[in-house]
Amino acid sequence: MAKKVKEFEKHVVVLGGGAAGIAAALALNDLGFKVSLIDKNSHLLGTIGQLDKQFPNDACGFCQLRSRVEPGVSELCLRRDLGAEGLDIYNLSTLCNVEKLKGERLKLYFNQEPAYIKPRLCVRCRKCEDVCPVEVPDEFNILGKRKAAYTLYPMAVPSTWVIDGENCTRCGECVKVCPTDCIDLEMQPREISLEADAVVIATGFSLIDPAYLTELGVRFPNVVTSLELERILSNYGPTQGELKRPSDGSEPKKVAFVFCAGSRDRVHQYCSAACCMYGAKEARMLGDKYPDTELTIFYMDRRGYGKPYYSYMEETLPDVRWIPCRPAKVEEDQDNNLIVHYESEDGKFHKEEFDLLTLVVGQEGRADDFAELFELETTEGFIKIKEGTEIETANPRVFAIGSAGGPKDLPDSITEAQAAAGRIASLLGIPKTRNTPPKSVEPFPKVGIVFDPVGDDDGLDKDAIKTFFAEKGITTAFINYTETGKGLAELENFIKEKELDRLVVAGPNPNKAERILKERAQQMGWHPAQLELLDFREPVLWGYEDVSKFNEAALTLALAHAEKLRLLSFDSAEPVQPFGRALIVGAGAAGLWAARQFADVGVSVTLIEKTEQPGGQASKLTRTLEGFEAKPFLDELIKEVKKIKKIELLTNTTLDRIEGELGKFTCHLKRGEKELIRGATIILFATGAQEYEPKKDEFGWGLEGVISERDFAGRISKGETDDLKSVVMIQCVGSRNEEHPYCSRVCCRRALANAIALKEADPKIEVTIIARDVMSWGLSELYYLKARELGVNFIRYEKDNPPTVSRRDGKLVVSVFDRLLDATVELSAGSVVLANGIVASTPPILYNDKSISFDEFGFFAEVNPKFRPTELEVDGMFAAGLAKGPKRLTESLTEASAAVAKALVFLRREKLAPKYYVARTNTRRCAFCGICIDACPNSARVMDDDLMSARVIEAICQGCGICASACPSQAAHLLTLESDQAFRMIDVMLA
Amino acid sequence: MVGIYAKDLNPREATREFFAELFGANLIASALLPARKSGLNQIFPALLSSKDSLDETFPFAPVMPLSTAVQLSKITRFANPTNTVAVLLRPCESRAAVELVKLRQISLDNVLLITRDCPGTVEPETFEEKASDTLPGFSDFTEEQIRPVCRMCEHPTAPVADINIGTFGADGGIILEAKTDKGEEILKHIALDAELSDTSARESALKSEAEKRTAFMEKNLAELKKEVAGIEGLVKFFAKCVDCHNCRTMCPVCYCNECFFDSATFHFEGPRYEEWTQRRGILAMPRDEILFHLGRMNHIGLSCVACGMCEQACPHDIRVGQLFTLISTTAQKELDIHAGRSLTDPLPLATFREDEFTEMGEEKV
Amino acid sequence: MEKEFDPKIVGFFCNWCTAAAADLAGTSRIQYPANVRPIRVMCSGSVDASYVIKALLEGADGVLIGGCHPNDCHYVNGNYKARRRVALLKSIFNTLDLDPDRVWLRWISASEGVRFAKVVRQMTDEIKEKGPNPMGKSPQT
Repeated sequence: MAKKVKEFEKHVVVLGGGAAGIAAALALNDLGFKVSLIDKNSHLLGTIGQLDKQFPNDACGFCQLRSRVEPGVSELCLRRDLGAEGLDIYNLSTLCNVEKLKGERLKLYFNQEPAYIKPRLCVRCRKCEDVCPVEVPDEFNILGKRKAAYTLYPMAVPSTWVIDGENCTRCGECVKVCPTDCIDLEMQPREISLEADAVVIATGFSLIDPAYLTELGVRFPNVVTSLELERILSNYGPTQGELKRPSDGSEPKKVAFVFCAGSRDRVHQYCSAACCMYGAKEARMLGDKYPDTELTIFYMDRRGYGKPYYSYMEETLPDVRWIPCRPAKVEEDQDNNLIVHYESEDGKFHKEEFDLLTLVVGQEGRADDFAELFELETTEGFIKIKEGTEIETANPRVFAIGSAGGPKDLPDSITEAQAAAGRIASLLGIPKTRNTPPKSVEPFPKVGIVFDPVGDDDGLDKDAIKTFFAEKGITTAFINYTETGKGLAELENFIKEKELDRLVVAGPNPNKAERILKERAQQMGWHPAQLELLDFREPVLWGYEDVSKFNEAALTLALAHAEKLRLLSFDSAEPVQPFGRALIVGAGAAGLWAARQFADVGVSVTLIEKTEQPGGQASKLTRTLEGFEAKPFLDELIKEVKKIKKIELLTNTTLDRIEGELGKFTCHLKRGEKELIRGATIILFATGAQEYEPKKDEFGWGLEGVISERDFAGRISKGETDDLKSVVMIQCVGSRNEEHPYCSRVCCRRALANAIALKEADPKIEVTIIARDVMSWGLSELYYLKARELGVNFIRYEKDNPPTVSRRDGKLVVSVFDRLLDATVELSAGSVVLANGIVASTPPILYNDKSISFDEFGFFAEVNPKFRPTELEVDGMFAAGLAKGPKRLTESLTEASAAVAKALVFLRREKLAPKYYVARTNTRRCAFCGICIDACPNSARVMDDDLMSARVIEAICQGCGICASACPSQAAHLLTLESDQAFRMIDVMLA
Repeated sequence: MVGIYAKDLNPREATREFFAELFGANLIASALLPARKSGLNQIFPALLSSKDSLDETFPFAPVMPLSTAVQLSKITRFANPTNTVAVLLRPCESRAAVELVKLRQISLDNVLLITRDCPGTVEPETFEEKASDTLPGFSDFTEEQIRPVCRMCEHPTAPVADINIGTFGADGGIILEAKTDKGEEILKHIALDAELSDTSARESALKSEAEKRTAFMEKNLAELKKEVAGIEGLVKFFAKCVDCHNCRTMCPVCYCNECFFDSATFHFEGPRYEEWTQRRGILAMPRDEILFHLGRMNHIGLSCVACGMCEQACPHDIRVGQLFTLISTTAQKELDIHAGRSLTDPLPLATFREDEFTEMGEEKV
Repeated sequence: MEKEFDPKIVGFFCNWCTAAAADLAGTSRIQYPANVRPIRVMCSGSVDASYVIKALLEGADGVLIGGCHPNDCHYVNGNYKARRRVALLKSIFNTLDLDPDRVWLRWISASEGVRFAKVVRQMTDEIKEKGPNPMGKSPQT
C-alpha cells in the first residue's frame, strides 16, 4: 500500500561522502527525501576526488549523477558542489552511537571535529593558508605538502577552508589576517544527533597500505602506489601532470605495474575488484601521454569482468607486455633503478631493470566499527550483505553500498547507490512534488542586477556602478551572500520591490549558487531562465591581478548579461501531463522486481512478457555461489506480482513500437494478432539475454557428455552427477573472443559453484577447470581459494591456443596446452562442462521511426557507464538486467532497483516541465539540408519529411549548440544562447 | 567506356545529335539544356520534352547567366520527376550540384547527369554584343574577354557525372565517357563511331589547359591577395558594396532559405545605432557588410566551386568571385576538403577527423 | 603621455572545462591579466564563426576559444568540430592578411587553472606586442 509522504519529511542519513555516498545522497534528494551526508574527512569525495578520469570511458562525468528534471537548472560540475534544498553536509564527523527508536527508526549520534573556521563567514580568500607556518604531508596529492590551514584541493566540497587541529600550533597568525573574523581556534567539537528513517552506509574502503610488501621494494623511492601515480599524472598533481621519477625527477622510460599488490595474498585473501581495471587505465593514460614509454604489467588474472572491460583491458592496450606472475623480489641499484626478479610460467627465472614500479594496491574493508554500532556482521572488514541482494543488511532500514559491502569498482558502486534510493523509496514511500511548471518568457522585461562580491573590501566603486546602470534604466543592488538564507530573502525583496522580471546575480559561483537561486526564482513564478548568474567572484575578483580593473569588468560583464536577459524571450512548450504509468518490457527477474517496487510506491505498471510465463533466464537458475536459492525467490516474486492490482501483467505480448516522449510515451503492443496501446511516463527495458549456443564441435559441443554449465548445475541439484568420476570445465565459451569481445561475468563463478558442490558431495571426484583468467572478483575470490583447497585443478589457457575436446574409445578426452608443464596434456572426463557465455537477444525497437541505440555487443547502451548506468539516450527510457549486459541475478535485481529510483524522479511529478537546455529548429528557415543531423553528437535531430524541416527530439537533446553553429542560416538555434544575444553580449563587452 | 561520337559534326551538333538519340531511344523523358531565350540573344537553361526543340539549344554557348545546379535543385528538391531527366552541366555546375546533393538540395533519382568540358565563359553582356542571328562560340572571343574565374578554373572537366561530353583532345565530334554504371548502361544504346582506347591526346590537352589556367590563377590571385591584404585592403575592395546580397542570391552553394545575415539578428534597435556612432564617431551604413562577406566565406568557403556567379551578379563589378576563389582554393587545400569532388564526401562543417590539426589547442604555455 | 595599450580579448569558454578552469584559477588565487571578457558557452563546438568575426570587427584585439581536450568533450566531439571551424577561419584570415594569430583555440580542462592563467597571460602579452586590432578601427566595419 502506498504511503502518503511530504517532500523532505522522511530523513535518510548517508554515511560516507565518497562517490557512492554522494550518488546515493543525490538520488535520494532527487526523490524528495531529506538527506544528511556525513563524512569523517574535512572535504568530501574520498578516493574519487583524486582520480581525474575513471574507467571504462576515461573521462570524469560526475556531473551526470543528478537527474535532469528542472528545466532551467544548468548543468554544472558536481565535483565542485552539491548544494540543494534538503541536502545537508556534515564534514569532520564520526558516528559514535546508534539508538533504536520506535518503529525501526534509528537515532544516530555523531561527533563533529571543529573546523576552527566558521564556514558561513569564510570567503575563501586563502589568507590563512598563506600565513600558516605549519607544513604537513598532503593527503590529497600524497607526494606534496599542505598547510595546517587548508582546503584539500581547490575544487573540494565544502569549498571553505578548515584548520587541521591536530597539526595546528595555535600561533594565531591566521586569526590576524582573516578579513571576516571567521577563525576561532578555541572551537570545540560538537555532538550531533540525527533521527533517521533509513541509513545508507557508504563508508568505502581504506587503500591497502603496502608497507608489509617488503619483497616488492616499497621502501625504494621509485616504487610508487597506483594512487601516487594517479596524482603524478594529474594536471593538478604535484608535478603538474608530468611523469617524473620521485628519486631524481627524470622521465622514466620503462615502467612496470604489479597488480594485486596487497590483494589475493596472505593478508588480504580476497580480490579487490577494481584494481585490474584502474591499473589498466593508468597504463593507458601513461601510454597515451608518453607513447615511447615501455609498459609491463605483472598480473595474476586479468579481471576485466563485465561488458566493456575485456576490450578495454586487452584490445585497447596493445603495447603492454603482460606477464602472468607476481614478482618474487625487487632490488634497487645505485641509480635508484629497480631490478625485478620474477619467474615466468614456464618456470624460468628472470631479472629485469625498470625505471619506475607501480604497485596497484587494493581495497581494505573498514566497516567493522560501524557494523558493530548497527549490530551487523562483517567479513574481512566489509559489512555482511543479506543473501540474495547486493545492498541490504540484516537490518531492513540499513543499506550498505559500494565498498562498504565488499571490494567494488566505481560503476557497481554507483548502481548500488542508486539502487539503495530505490529500495528506500519502497520502504518509506515517496512524495509527489509541488513543482510549478515554468511558463513562456515574455519580451520587453524590466531587468535588474544584484552584485554579490562578498565583503566590502572588493575594490568596487558602488556609486559609480549604480549611476552607470541607472542611466541605462537598470536597477542595481548590492547584497551579500545571496546563496544563503538571509541574502536570498533580500534578493527576493529586491525583485518584488522593483517589480523586476529579469535578474542578473553577479557574484557567486554558479556551481554553488545556481540551483539555489533558480529554484527560488521558480518558486516566485519565474522561468528559471529569467535569472542569470554571472560568475564574478572567482574569475574576476580573485583572478584578476589588477584591482583597478574590477569596476570596468563589473560594468561590462554585468551589462552584457543584463542585455542577454533583456533579449530573452521564448515560447515554452506546454508542460507535459504524464500518463503516470510505467511500462516494463520483459518479465524476467529484473522486470518483475522493478514492477513490484513501482507498485510499492503506488505507481501503476504494465509489465509485458513475450513468452507464456514470467521468469525469464532466472527460472533456469539453481543455487548461486553464495548459496542463495534462486528458484523459491523467483516463484514467490511471480506469485506476488500476479496478486498486485497495480500491475497489469501481459504475457505473450511484444512491444511493436514507441512514439512520443518522456511522460507521454505511446507504446504499441502486440498480443497475438491484437494490437494494444498503453501510455507510459517511462519505459524500462528488462528484455534479458540468451545463453550462447556453441557452434557444432566448438569445444566438443554436440558430443555425448558435453553439457552446458547451467544444465550441469541443474543436474547437480537433482543429484544426477553422483556417479561421475571426473569432470573438466572449459571457460570462456563464446566470451572474450572476436565474436563476443566481452566477459560474460557469471560463468567462472558458476564453475566454482559447480566444482565446490561436486567436491563437497564426493571429494574423490576429479574436477579440472580450464580457464583463461578466473573471474572471481571481490569476495568471491574466497570461493576460488575454497575450490583450490578442495582439490579442484586449474589450468590456464590462452585465447590463441584453446583446449580441444574429442571422444575416443567411448570416453571424452580434453587436450590442453599446460604452460606450467610446457606440454600438451590429455585429460579424460566423464563430463565436459562448457561455460557458455551470455549473448544479447533484444530485437531492434522502434522509437519515433528510429531504432533505440544498442552498444557494439547488441546490449542496451547506457548514457554513461559509470554515473548513469540504467539510463538510455532517450530521456525516460531505462534498461536493467541482462538486457544491458551480462550480470548475476542479484546484480540484475540491484540494477532494477537503481532504474526504479531514477524513473521515480519523473513518476512522482504531476507535471513535467519542458526542457530549456535544448536546441530548436526554426521550421521556416530550415533548408532541410541535414547539416545539423550530422553535427549532433547525440542523434537528437531527425529529418521530418512532413514538415520538410529538421526536428529536435528534445528528450535526447543535451543542449550543446553544436547544431546551431553548424547551421549556416541559424535555423538550428540554441535556447540558452541565441545569436542576437551573443552578438549583443559581444557588442557590450567591447563598448 | 570512352568513345568518339559523331565524328563529322562539330561539338554543338554532335551534342544535339546525342540528345536526339537519348530521346529517340526513350532513354530520357526530358532534358535540361542551355537554349536560346525565345528568339533573343541570350542563353538560359531550358527544359525540353522532346528532340523537336533541340535546334534551339546551344550546349556549348560560352555564357552562363546562372548556375544550372540551382535549377536542378528546383526540379528535384521537393519531389523527383517521375521519368528520367537528362541535365547538361558545366564542370562548375556539376561540382555545385555535388555539393547540393550532399546538402540534400538536389536528389539524383531519375536524373541523368551529363557534363561537358568547358573552355570558359564570357559575361552575358559580352555575349550579347557579339550575338546576331547566329550566336557566337567560344572562339569568337579573345582571351581577355573570358571571365577571370573561368581563366583560373582548374577543372576544365567535371569530376562527377554519369556521362561526360569531352571536347578537349577531340578531333571532330565529341568524346563520350561513361563515369558511372548508369552512364555505362546508357552508352550501350548509343552508336559510337569508335571506342577511344588511347586517351592520351585528351589527357594531355586537359593537362595543358589546366596548367595554363593554374599559371594564370597563381599570377592573378597573387595580385589580388596583395590588393586585399589587411582590413584596409578588404574595406577598399568592398568599397562599392551596397549590401544587396546579390552575390549570395546567385551563389549556387548558398542554399539557405533565408540568409543568416538577412535575419532578425541583424535588425537592431535604434539605440544601438546611437551607441555605435558615439563609439566610433562615424558609422558607415549599411552595417555589417564586411561581417557578411567574411561570414559567408566561413559558411561556404569549403563548398565554394569558384563558378563566379557572385561576381557576375554584382551590380558594381566587385571581383567577389575572384576573392572567393582565392580564399576557397586556399582553404580547401589546407583543410584537405575538396568541393564537388565526390557525392560521398561528408559535410565539412558538421564533421571532423580525429587526426587533423592535432597540434591545435594543445599548444604549450 | 600615451596610455599603454590594454588589449580587449573576448573569451568563449566551454561551461565544462575552461569556464571551470577560470574559476579554479580564481579559487587558487593564480592571478592573470584582466584582459579577457568571458562568455560562457555550453561547448566550444557551439561557437559560431560569425561570433568570432563580429568580436574582431567590433574592436576585440583577440578572441580566445577554450574547449575540452580531445576525447574529453562533454558532448562527445564538439571540440573536434570547433577545431575544424577555427582552422577554416584561420585559413581565411591568413589568406586575407587579417592576422589569424588574434584568434586562439586552446584546450583547457577544468583542472587546469594554472594553464588557464598562463594562456591568458601569454595571449595578453602577444596581443600587446601586436598592438590594437586594426579591424575594429574602420568606420566601415
